[in-house]
Order: sequence, then structure tokens, then C-alpha cells
Amino acid sequence: MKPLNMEAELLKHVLRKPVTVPYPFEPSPPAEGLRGRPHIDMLKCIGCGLCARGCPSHALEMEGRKDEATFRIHLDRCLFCGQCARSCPREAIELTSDFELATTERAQLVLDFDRACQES
Amino acid sequence: MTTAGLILRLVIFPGLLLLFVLAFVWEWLDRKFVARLQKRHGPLYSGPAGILQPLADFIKLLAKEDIEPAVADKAFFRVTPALLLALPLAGLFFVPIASETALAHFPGDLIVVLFLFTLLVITIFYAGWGSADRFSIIGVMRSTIQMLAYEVPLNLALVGPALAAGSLSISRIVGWQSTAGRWLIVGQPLGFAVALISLMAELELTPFDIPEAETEIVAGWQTEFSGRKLALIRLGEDMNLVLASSLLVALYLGGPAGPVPGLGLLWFLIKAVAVVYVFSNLRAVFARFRIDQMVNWCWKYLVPAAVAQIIITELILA
Amino acid sequence: MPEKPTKQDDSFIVPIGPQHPALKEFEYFELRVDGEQVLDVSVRLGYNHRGIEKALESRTYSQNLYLVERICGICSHAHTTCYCQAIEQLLNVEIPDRARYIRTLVAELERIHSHLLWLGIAAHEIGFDTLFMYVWADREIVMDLLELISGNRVNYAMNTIGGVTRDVRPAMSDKIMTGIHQLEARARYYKGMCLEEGSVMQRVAGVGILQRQDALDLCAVGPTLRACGVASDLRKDDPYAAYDALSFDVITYDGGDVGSRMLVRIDEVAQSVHIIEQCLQQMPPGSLQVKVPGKVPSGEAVSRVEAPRGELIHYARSNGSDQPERYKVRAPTFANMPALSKMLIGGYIADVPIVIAGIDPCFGCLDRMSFVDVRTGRNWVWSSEQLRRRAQA
Repeated sequence: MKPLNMEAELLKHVLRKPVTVPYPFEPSPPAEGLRGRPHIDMLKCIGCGLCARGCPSHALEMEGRKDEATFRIHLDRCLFCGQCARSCPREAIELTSDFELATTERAQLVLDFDRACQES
Repeated sequence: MTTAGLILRLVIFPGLLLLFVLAFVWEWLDRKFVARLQKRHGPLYSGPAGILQPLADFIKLLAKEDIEPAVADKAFFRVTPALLLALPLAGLFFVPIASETALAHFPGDLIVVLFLFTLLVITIFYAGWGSADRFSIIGVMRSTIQMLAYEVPLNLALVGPALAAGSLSISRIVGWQSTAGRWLIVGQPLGFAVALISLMAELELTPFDIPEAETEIVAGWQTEFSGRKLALIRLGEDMNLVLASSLLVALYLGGPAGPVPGLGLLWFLIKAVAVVYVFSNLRAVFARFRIDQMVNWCWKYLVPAAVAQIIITELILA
Repeated sequence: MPEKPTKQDDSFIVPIGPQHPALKEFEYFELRVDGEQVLDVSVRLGYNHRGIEKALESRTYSQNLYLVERICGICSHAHTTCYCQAIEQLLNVEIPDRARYIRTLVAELERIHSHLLWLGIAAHEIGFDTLFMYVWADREIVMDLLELISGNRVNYAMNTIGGVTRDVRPAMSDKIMTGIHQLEARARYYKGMCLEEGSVMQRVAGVGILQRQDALDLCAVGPTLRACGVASDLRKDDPYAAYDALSFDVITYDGGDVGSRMLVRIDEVAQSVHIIEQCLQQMPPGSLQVKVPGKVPSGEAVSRVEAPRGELIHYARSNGSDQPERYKVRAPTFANMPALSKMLIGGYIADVPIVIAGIDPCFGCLDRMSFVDVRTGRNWVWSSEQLRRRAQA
């Protein structure tokens, strides 16, 4: 039995920088492909509703059908699982890597997607 | 010495104000040292490099609700936190910090300080007993058993410097080291090691933090204390750390003496910081003992080492 | 419940739980102690019961995937693998080879993650906070790898019925290789350090002893069983995913104490690294999933997986609709509970946290039903033989 066995390891680290990441005082970009806030590209959407039906926590709601479909995402229910992105036949939904979504205003947790940008 | 001068010395420097500042700074040092050894930052944002964190914690605790269990023994529960702060403070008056003689000194003050350590454990016992909580009771049982283990080696080891200097007064021992021109640790390294380890047990630092083992008995004897009482207990613990490190510096490292005379406090602080670093390093590098293992180990190794040191010292003196 | 003492004794009751710093989740262990010695243990479960099995009956199979994943945060992939295997059995589909390898890869990364987390917690329980900090700093490596592969540090959502959802690209492979070799070196260091550090070994050696015959009688599983010298590992005994094509050792130690369990887990980290290397080298090309219908034909299926804590069993019964009729989960911690009660008796209070931690309890996985008396293994409702017979009938 060696006493003070971890001592060498400890002394090695005393003068080095700590491993603590100073986030949020400095930015800490996540890995590529992080499952963050969902975004719907309404130009690709065909209004089939598969995403809303497949959502495990009813976070994604669709109103209207086909060309008139609009969406509301409740971020406080969203699991960021990506099921909606996978169910979409046109790959219109993407999970961005935006993860800094915490807020004290409930209203900011509701995202609305409508057809305002679509022509015709 | 005029009364005004005495009061100034007692309350400001090197008395109460200095001691309170030292208590907070020592806690910060300990937390920073341990954090750096663990690859973390430690306190960082309150004040430069987090130095105001212990003060911030103290003030926060003062403002919190002070809950008293209905079945607690009111007298013990209320008085013991204040005593836990007052006892180390009293001990510190006998230790030379800024000059070669302490605020108070008389032959035998070393024994008084050792007695204060014992009183501290008895106060802890009443604190936990008065809490009337099963975790507190287990905690104080352990604390008392732990005292039986380290008390003897501590007293034996601290008698070594007294033997060498021929006096039971801490101030005289410090004086002897400056006239003899060498520190007592040179002649009694074993005694220093035994005293260091026993003081770690007295301060309830890992591996001897058995009475307040968080993962086993919540907070041990401190479980029921909150708010102001907890603030006083924590400050008392910091003050105890100051007392332990100051005692080691005074008895073994020559006290406030250094190459340049007149800067007594500076040399004292440098040596005390080194001792605190040793405490912090040792506390980071071990797992917690179990109470039976601790008692076994102390009686098997510490006591014989302390006795051996006394024998060696006697032989050298003869 | 412990029997009332028939004669005068000095024992009193120390409650560990439901809230206690030693427990990461709530359960209730009532210890009858005399001084520091534990005389008797009474375990009460059910504080974490969330009604998941009932909730599974009112959601579609595809939605249930995410509910099953959240039964436990750290064995989430094991739960979804078990679930997908059960449903794939009911649907009678074979997933592509590439999917099988990716499932294995993520499962082994999760095992490394779980064992490192356990090592840190065990260090914390014996008061060695420095080791806890160091191990958890190394755990960041595996969490970053999992984030790279799956997009999240826990709850990976890698599995879907019919295969996996994301691919492991060649650029990722290099990062994974570097990461796991770092972890292997660290695991070796921790093993050497723990074996030689006196203050650690005296808290785990000879503590929480479980005899080999008791382990078999009380149906212990996982590292708890393997630390008693029984070489039982589902990855070898009943291979699933890609384990039949991979070579690795089943780690056993003979001590039956917490120290042996610790060594089993550290060695399993090294084995997992070896498995991941093979997965990356032998990864076959191909698609990631097969398309499956939403409605599942009637039938019953049982699926078993070697989760980091031991054998995990899922049972599914379908009725032709797109929602399951009944789903049952038997988590490994539940199987280890009777053995845990046996281990605690006769020890010291100071040993209780590390012995409880020694079986790596996951109380989130555990509370499928509230049982008050879990003294003997005979209180279970289904045994694996019964389940298998029912599934093949």
C-alpha cells in the first residue's frame, strides 16, 4: 500500500488551468449536430401533419391542412428528440444547434410558424 | 502599557479584527488550494479571485431563518455555537502572531490551549446532544470516540517543544527558537508530523471528518443548526483552523521571526500559509476513515511515534 | 418490516431516506442499529413510481420510444434497445447490419459513461472528493463523444423501431478512437491508484460481502453477480445487436465485496473500449433502418439486454393496433434489491452508503411497482422462464 498515492497526480495539476469551462462568461459552442431548437422551413412544408401526430409530448401543433397549415411549437414541452424532423417527408424540419433557450417569459417559449413568407 | 493601547491591541491588531480577517482568508485559501488540486477554480467571482466568498457565505447565513427543533434542549442548542467560536478565539490570544510575545502569556499557557481543544470537543458533544436528532447523536458519539484517539498523541507531541525550550509558555518557546537560532521542527520532525495529523483530526478534516460525514449521517452533529447558529459554527471552524496553523507555526516553525526583524506579522503569515497548504493537500488526497479504523490507526502509529519523539528529545537534551 | 424486538435491546432506527445525501434518488432504507452496527434492514420502494407502464399503453409505439428512453437517464440507450428489440420481434423484422453495429457502439459508450459515473459516486460516498472530481472530469470525454454521435449528452435518441436514426461518419470515428484510448489509459490509472491507496481499499475491501450461493439464490445480476465469481453476462449468454460477431471477455472477480464490484466495473470499461474499437473497424456499410408499419400484429415478445447495471427485461403484448396493450419493464436494480438487503446486515453505518452505491442502484429504473416486502426473490410476478414460455406459446 502506498500512502498519498494520488499526490503525484494532484501536484501535476496544481499549476495548470482548471478544467472548468468558464461558460456563460465565455461562449462554449456545442458539437455540430446538437439537437437544439426546432425550425420549420415553411417553403418546403406540404401540410401533411405527420410531424404533429408523431410528437411524443404534443409540443408541435398544426392548425389547418395542406397549404393553409400553420404550426406552433411549445418549447417547454419539446423533448428535442428529433422525431418531427425524421417524420417529415420533405425534410422541412431541422433541429438547429441553438440551445440557449432559457427565459423568464413564458411567451418566449412558444414559436409560431406561418405562411407569411410564402408567395402566391 | 496604557489601557487604551491594550484595548487597541486586543480588539484591532493583533486582536479580534485581525483574527476575524485571518479566519475568512484562511477559509478562502483552503478552498482555493483544494479546488486547484481538484482541477477546479474554487471561489472565483466574489471579490478579486473570490476572496470575499467566505464573508459572503457568512453574511448569507446570518440572514437565513434560524430553525430550532421543538424537542431540542434550548440552553445547549443556543449557547454551544457561540462557545464554538469563543474557545478558539480565546486560545489565539496565547499564540504570538505579530510579535514575539502573545497578547497574554504566562508559564503554562500551552496547557491552557490544549485544554481548550478538549473543551471544544465537549462543546461539540453538547451541541449534538442538545439537537435531539438521531444523526446528531451518531455524529457526537463518533466525535467523542475520535477525541479518545487523537487527544493523547496531540498532547504528547506538543509537549516536545516544551521539553526542548524548558518552558510551558508558548511565547517563551518562540523566544527560545529565535535565541537558539533554529526552528524546533529541525530537531523534532516526527513530533511535527504527529502534531499535524492529530490537529487534522481535531479540525475534523478528511480523512478524519467522520463526525460530520455528509454521505453517511447527513451533517452529523451540525445537522440541526441553521441560520445564525450555523454561521457562528462555521466561523468557529475557520477560527480553529487559524488556531491550529498558528500553534504549529509558533511551536515548530519559529513563530513571527524571520530574516528581516520588525516584519513579524509577514513572516508569520508566510509560514502559516504554508501550513494551511499542507492541511489542504492532505485533506484532498485521502478517503474518509471509518471510526474503528481511525482509532486503530491512531493508537498503532501516532502514539508510538509521539512517544518515540519524546524519548529522542530527552536523549538529545541529556 | 423488521420484527419488533422481543427483549430489551439498545438498538434504534436510523432512516436512510427518502431524502438523504447518500441517495441520488429517493428510496427508504430503515436500518435498525446498535451503536455503529446494522442489525436489520427494511427496504421500502416506490417513491419514484411514475406510472410509466400505464402511460405506455396510451401512446403509439413510435411515441413510446421516447418515454421508454426516459425511464432512466443513464441506461437510456439500454432501455430503448430492449424496447426496439421487443417491437421488432413482434413485427418480425430484421434490422440492417450497420444498425446493429451502431447500436452496439452506443451501448458500449453508455456502459463506459455509466461505470465512470459510478466510480465518481463511489469515491464521493467514501469521502474521497478529489477522486470524484477527477473521474467526472474524465467522464466529460465520453459525454462529448456521445454528443458528437447523437446530438445530446444523455437520452441519445439513437434507436428507432427498425434500426438507428443517425450515422457514425468516418470523421467521427477518429475522434471516437482518440477519446476511448484516453479513457482506457485513465481507467488503468484509476485501477492502479485505487488498488494501492490504503484509505480507499480499507473502505471497500471486505465490505458488503455477498456469498456466491446467496447471489445465485437471490437472483443478483450484473457486476454485483460477476463480482461473486459467476460469469453471467447476457452479451455472451444470449447475444443481441452485434455482440455475436465481437470478441471480448466477461470480467469476474471472486471477492464478493464492494472492492470486487469496483474492479469489475473498471475492467469492463477496458473491455468496452476493446468492443468499440472492433465496431469501428468492422462497421459494415448499408442502410440505417428499415421501414416498419405503424400497426403491430398481435403477439407477445420478451427482450433482454445487458444494461450497465445488469440484465434488463422488457415484455410487450400487442393487439394489432398502433398502441401496446401491456408493457412490463424489469430493471436490474430491482433484481439486486434482495441481495442488497442481505449485504447491509452486519455491517457498520459508515458502510451503508458505499454498499448501497456498490450495486449501482438506479431507482429511476427500479420503481415499476411498489413492493413493500422484497425479502426473497419469490415475490416476483414473472420469472424469465415464465416470460419466455408465454412469449413462445
